Amino acid sequence: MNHINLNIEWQNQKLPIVNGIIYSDGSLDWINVDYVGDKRKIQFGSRIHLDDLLSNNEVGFSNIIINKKTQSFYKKINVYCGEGSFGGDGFVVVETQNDLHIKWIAFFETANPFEKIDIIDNKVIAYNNLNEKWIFDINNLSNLIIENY
Amino acid sequence: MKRDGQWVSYDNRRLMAAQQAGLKSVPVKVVKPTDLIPKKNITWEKAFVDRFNDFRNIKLGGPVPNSGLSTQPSIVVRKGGK
Repeated sequence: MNHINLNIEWQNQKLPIVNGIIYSDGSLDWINVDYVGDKRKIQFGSRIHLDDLLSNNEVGFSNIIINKKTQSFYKKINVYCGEGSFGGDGFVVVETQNDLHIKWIAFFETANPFEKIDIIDNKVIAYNNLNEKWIFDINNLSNLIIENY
Repeated sequence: MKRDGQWVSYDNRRLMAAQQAGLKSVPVKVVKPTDLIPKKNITWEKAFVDRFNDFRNIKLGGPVPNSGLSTQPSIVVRKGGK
């Protein structure tokens, strides 16, 4: 079976094109984020693995642009946000400060570029160019909340 | 941006929206391949090449040629969580 090394891809400024949260072991909580009218609709899918998608040629990699970085010395993490090759792509990457390894990735084809990132308490909050803030709960990452600001 | 003698748009979503809205023209900003995208450390040439060669385009029939496509792109929504 093919295997994705997320850390190497990240070092090369590439991220898997998915919709959801990718964990350090390559597992993925698929989350569909669409519009219904002008409201966001979030549908939580099941957990799958990137390697399975790769074996079926169902996942590729997007070159990414990092737009902002922040860090928490208390949580010992660096957090990045940015965009992919397509206009709708937006991502958040959290890496450990001690070895710069991926902790988790959020990549969405419908997010639009994330242009600002904050860490507030146990939340990572990414702000896109649609005046939305995407709130990721560090303790329950797939519990995505999207609000306008 | 002009590529291989052909004007090519980076942002097909707005063009498609304008077309579907029946607009006869749309404002554009002409860029050079070597220009940096504002606030980003990447040239327009690199951005075009990345987008044209994106996995999703390849899956749908191959990389977009340098001079773009004259046909309307299809809208594809990926659904996962199988």
